[in-house]
Amino acid sequence: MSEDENTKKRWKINLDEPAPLPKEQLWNSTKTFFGKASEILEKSRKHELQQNQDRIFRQNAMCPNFTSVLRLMTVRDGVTISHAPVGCAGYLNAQPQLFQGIPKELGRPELDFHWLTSNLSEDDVIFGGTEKLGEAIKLADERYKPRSIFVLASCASGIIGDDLEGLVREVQPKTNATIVPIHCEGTRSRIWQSGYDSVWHGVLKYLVKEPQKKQEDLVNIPASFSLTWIDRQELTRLLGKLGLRPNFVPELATTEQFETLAEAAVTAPVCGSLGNYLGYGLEQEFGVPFFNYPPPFGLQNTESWLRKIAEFTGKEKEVEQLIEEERAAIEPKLEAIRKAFKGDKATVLDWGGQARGLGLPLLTHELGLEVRGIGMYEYDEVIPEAIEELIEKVGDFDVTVADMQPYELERLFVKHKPDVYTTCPFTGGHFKRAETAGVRHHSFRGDPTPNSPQYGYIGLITYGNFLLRAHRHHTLNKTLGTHVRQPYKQKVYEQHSPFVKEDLKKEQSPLAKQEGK
Amino acid sequence: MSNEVKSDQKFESKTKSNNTPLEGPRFTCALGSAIGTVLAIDRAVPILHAGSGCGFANLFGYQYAAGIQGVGYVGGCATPSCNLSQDEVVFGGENRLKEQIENTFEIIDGDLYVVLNGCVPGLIGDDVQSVVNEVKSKSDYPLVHADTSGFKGDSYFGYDKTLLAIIEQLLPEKATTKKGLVNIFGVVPYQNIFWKGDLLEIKRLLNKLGLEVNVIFGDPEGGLEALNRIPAAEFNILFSPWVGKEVVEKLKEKYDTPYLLFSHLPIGGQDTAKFLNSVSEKLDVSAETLESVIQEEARDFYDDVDNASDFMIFAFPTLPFAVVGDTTYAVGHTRFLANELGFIPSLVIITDNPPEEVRPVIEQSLDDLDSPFKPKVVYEQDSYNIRHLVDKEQIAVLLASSKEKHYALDKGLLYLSISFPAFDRVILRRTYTGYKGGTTFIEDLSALCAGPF
Repeated sequence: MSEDENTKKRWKINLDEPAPLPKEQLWNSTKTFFGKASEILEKSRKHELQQNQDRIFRQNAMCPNFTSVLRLMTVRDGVTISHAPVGCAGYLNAQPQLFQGIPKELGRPELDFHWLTSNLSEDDVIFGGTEKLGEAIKLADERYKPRSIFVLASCASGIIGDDLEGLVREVQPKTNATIVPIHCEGTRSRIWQSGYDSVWHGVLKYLVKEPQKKQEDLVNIPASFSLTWIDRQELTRLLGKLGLRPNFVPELATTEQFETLAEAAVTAPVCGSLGNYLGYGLEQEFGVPFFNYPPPFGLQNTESWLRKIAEFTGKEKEVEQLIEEERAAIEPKLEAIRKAFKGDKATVLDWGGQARGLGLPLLTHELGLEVRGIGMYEYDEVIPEAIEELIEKVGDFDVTVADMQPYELERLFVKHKPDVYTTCPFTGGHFKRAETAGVRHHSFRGDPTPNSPQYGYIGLITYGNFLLRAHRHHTLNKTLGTHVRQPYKQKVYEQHSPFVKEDLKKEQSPLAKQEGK
Repeated sequence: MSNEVKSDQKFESKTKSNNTPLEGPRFTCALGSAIGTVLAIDRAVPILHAGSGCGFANLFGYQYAAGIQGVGYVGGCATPSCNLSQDEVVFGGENRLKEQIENTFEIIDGDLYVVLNGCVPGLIGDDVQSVVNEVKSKSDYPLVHADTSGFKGDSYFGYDKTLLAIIEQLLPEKATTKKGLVNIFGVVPYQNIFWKGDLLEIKRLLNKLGLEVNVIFGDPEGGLEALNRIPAAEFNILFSPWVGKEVVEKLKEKYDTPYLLFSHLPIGGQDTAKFLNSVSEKLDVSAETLESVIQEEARDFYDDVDNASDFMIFAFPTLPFAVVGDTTYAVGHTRFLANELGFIPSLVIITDNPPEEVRPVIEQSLDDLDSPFKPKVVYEQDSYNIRHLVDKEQIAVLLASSKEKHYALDKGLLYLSISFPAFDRVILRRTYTGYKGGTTFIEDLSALCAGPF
């Protein structure tokens, strides 16, 4: 078998199983790496990335259950049921606030989200919780007549051994909605992004229908949690100019949008962590072509994203014209930003999910910033080419792969003292530094204001200008850096160990063993 | 909007077991609230013996739900956590916990470390207390463990459990009582979205009476110091008929500290004066001091009401209203609006599932209103049922959680988030408690519809 066929075989998705393999087994994913980009490239080529390596000091991260909550909370005609004690899915209470800020005139659909919890108690963990789950499904079905009901498993439901499939077989005939069990138990995987795969597994297994017709102008986009409303508008605008329509799933999607996924011309990525499972699944089961890289932000990445979509939709000619027009429209503005950053010799550190980990270095490089390092929440072995291409264009840089673990990012900060730092605010407070312009990646999801996009051509300019303003004027960071306490003891800044268990460092990855390497 | 008022409503006290599925509940699990409780103590560090997502889910679903309150010193992703996974489910998590506690001491700078366990250790049977005892015997760091498996209880349970653990494991067996010192309990950080402002207003008022006030959470005088002061109190003050009751009972048993119980946080002139009166009576505050404090505070407060009245007479003509929230807030708001501002009490939905035996106390506070109109009182935790109860009522004003906001606005109601969850506002030190809180509440309510005449 060729390397390519070997790889594809390895990534086989098995929909007969109730749940997908955890990412560390399926994509050889890791959340523990410290080193240079060139090293992660070499290691992923040799399947030498460490999966079982772990930290002797850990900090809060997400889990497969929480990521599934994030994914499914805004399905418009669906109801989410958390089969768990009450604390797992409290964030679902944020549903009404997520997109209501968008004016109806800008196209916000009618939104009325609902969620239930089976509210597992001490009795339930002894006697089993499926009866209460059945009740919750009945309530959801009667109250809202949804098209779909997503049932999210949890640590508790998993450990007590509740049989979700058995329950679904029993209650589905009495239920109007399609019930989709999602195996996103928190302890299922050490890599929380496995929850994304669990969601797609459920969608592929229970919702996607055999295509009735081919929709040649339809582009599936497994959107990331962080693809905001205004970013969606930009991608919709670009595809619209090619005569194409996006099918954004799962945020704000209807059940029908899941059902017709197999009718699309192509599945295009926004983030590998989030979308690979759906992309490969649709390709494997229904022959919908998929490409897994790059995400559409930054100039070159947006253009190669558009060109790849055009390839699958017969829009090769149109896309070149689009690119020419769009470039002409932004080039003077881009040049001005680039000149300013170059003049300032500004450096940048990016910290985010895989999409931003692999996408922002090139974007910030295009803006004229010097990329010193990136932090990624996880890394899948799926796309070494992406790293290779990045190194070629940007040069080698430091990479930390950690499921947040803000303590570890402290080391990159101490080493590089970057001028600009892009992040999500909840990931540990590194924006509270006087010397660094610590800024957000994306705005909140329902932000409809013109200042907020990051994707596509418009996003490159607005985000570029935003970074430049922040670089030159970051008094909030100064205020915080001057007056806010950090929780880390001084001596840890002098330590070099990444707090990975030394004895596990040399352990080979399961795939490397399997291939005799 | 209708001003119709039904005067024939009777109390509807529905008994409901907590052990049912719930739609959109307005509280978190024991662990979630325990995390919030520890984080609210200055320089106290939670160490989670739990799955990797427990802290995060509660940051998003609990702390951010309390008026987007930030991660602060060691919250959010900075919080140490064992991040238990399949390995620990199979082989047990005790070694992982030991390693995590020891390394937390090395890395995180704190005055108190509190191990909080989630569902996983509770289900796989880790002996968390033994691990904690072992580590404790070899180190000098103050270390406490609270068993807060998520499935064992709700926000109120988690708050009680954490405080009980601290009292049992950290505080000394005996203490000398300090005259005039009081502890404040029953205001659950984050579950009570205005917790910090509430506590500070209570502190401000009682300080004026000459008392020393230990608010513990968000205490400007330090976290561990505040905890250490607990045993010396002359009185404990509890602002809930049931949340924290076990805590003050425990303190009574351990230190013989008596407690004063209030069914709710006072808002505005009347209830706050009553509250100050009760406290003064028990704590030997002189009549002169009490009178001068009330006079001074009331003068400012009613001056504010006076200045707001041009607008209020215009905008709030005997409007019927409903309140949805925990006992602590729902009762206080209803009484303030009905007794002092001329609003008509129509419906009160109590969402914290108070035990049967304290419900008469709550109902008494809501019956004893300066109005022929008595509100319908319902105990309900399910958001679908709450929506339907609100829908049926002819009201003009709704004080509730951000879950109600959008349908309230669609119905043309005046709407303000006063209870958990409040995803639609940022809350730092804001409070509707006391005299100052009464003024702030009038400002916030008026801001919903303020405009020129």
